[in-house]
Amino acid sequence: MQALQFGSKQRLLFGFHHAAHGAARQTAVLICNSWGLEYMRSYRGVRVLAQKLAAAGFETLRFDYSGTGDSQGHSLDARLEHWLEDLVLAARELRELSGKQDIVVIGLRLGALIAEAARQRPGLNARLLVHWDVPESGKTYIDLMREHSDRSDAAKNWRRDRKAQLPPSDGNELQGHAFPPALAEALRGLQAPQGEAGNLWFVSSDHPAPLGAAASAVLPSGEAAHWQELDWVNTPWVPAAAAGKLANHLAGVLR
Amino acid sequence: MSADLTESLLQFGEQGRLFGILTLPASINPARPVVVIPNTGFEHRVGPNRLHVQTARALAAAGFCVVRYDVSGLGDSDAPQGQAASSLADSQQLLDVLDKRQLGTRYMVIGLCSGSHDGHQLCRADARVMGLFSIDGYAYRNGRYHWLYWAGRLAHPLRSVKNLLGRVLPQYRLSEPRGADAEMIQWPSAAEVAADYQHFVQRRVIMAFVFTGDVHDTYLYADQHFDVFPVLRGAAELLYLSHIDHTLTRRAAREEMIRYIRAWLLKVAA
Repeated sequence: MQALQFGSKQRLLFGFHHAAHGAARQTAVLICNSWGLEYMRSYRGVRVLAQKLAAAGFETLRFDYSGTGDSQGHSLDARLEHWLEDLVLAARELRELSGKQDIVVIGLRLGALIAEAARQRPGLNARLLVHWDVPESGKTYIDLMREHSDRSDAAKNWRRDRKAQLPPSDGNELQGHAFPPALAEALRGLQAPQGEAGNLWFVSSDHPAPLGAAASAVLPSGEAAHWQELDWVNTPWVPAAAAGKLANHLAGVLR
Repeated sequence: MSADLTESLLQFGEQGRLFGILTLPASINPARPVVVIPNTGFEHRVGPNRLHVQTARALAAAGFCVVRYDVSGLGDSDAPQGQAASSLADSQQLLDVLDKRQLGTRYMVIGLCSGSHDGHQLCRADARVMGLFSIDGYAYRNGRYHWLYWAGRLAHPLRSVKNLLGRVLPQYRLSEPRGADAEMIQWPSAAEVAADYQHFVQRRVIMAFVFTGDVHDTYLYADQHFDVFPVLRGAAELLYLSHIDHTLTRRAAREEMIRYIRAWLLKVAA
C-alpha cells in the first residue's frame, strides 16, 4: 500500500495505491468513496476492499475527492464538476501506476452515482461500473442524509438545556459536513444507472435490488450495511466478507 | 489550503505500518512546538467533520508544523503483529520520527475525546510533550455537579421525563457506536488523574481544557474541572462551551474551536 498525492498543484488529490499481490491482472480497479458521514463510516471498509482486490491480483486505487478527506481544497468549495474531473484524474493516475488500460470502477453509495455521472467522460473509459448499494438518485441520498441530520439534532436538543440548544444549521452543511448549495443542487440531479450493459449491482442484504435489472447483473453481498438506520451512522462499516466476495467475483469474470 | 503550506505523507513504525499527514508552514521555526493530533473515536485522521484537517491547516498557516495521524487499527494504520496495540507506543514512535526530522524538540497534543485520552497518556509518559489541549477529555462529577443536576430536575421535572423518553423513543435515541466499537476506553480514576495533573504542573506542562454541552452526563458548569482538580487552577485554561456539541457538527463551532486553539498556541508558544 503506497500513499500518494496526484492531480494538479491547484487541486492535489490524496489516495492510496494497493499493488496487486503476485502477478497483476490485466484489469485495474478504481474505488469511489461515498461522502460525509458515510465516507467516515466506510473509510476502513473501503481500505479492506482495496486490500481484498489487491490480494485477488488487481492493481487498485482509492482516493479522496477534492475538498474532502485528506485532499486539498476547502469543503465549502467542493463541486460535483470537480469530483467528476477528479475521477478522470484518478483513472489516469491508476493507468500510469499500474500500466493497465482496462479499468473497473467500484462506486460505493454516492460514489456509484458520481461514477455513473462520469461514465461518458473522455479519459474514464471504464469497462465495468460496480454499484455498491447505489441510491435511486442523488435526491434520495440527500433526503436520507437530511433526515438523519434532523433526527440527530432533535435527539441532542431533546437532552440539552433550553439555553444550550444547538443552533440551526447554516444551510451550507449537512450532518456536520460542508455542503454548499451548488454542490447540493448538482448532486440532487444524479441518477442511478439504467440497463445492464457495463453495470454490476453489488447489493447488501438490507438494500433494495435495482428495479428491472437482470439477475445476472446483481450480486448479493450477503451482509447488511444499515445505511438507512440512524442508529448505525456512528458504527464503522467494515464488510470484510462482502469485500472478499466482490473481489473473488471480479477475479472470476475479469482478466 | 494556502499555497504556502505543504502536506506530505508520513509512514512510520515497524514496516511503515503507521500513517499520518504532516502539514508544514512556509517557514519552519524549530523553536516552536510541533503539534500532534491523534484520532477521535474510530474516525481516521481527518477527524469529525474534517476538524483535524482544518485545524492542521489553520495552525500551519500560523507557523506550526502539525501531524494528524492514525493509531494502530484505525484509518490507514495497521495493528502490530504479535503484540497488543498501544496508542501510546504509536505516538512515541511518531515523536521519534519527528525528532529525527528536526522539525522541533517539544510537542503539543490536541485531542478530542479518545484523542484527549491518548494525549494525556502521551504527556504522562513522555517529557517531550510540553502541552495538552483537551476537548471533552476526562471529566468527573463532584458535589456541585450533583447539586446542579438535582436542582435542575426539581426545577424542571419534565426534563426527567424527557430524558427517560429519550432512551425509549426511537426518534430521540442518540446514535452510539455498536459492537466492538462501543467498547469505551477505560478512563482512569479521578485520583489517578489528579496525581498526573500534579506531575504535569510540576513539569510546567501547558494545558487547556474544553468541555462541550454534549458531556452533560459528567460536566455541568464552567469551573467544574478546576473544582475537581484544584491543582489546575491558575495552571491551565478552562472553557465550557455548552452551545457546542461533541463532534462540532456546526461549521461555526469548528471555526470557533480552531480560532481558540490557534490563539492559545500562539500565546503559549511565545
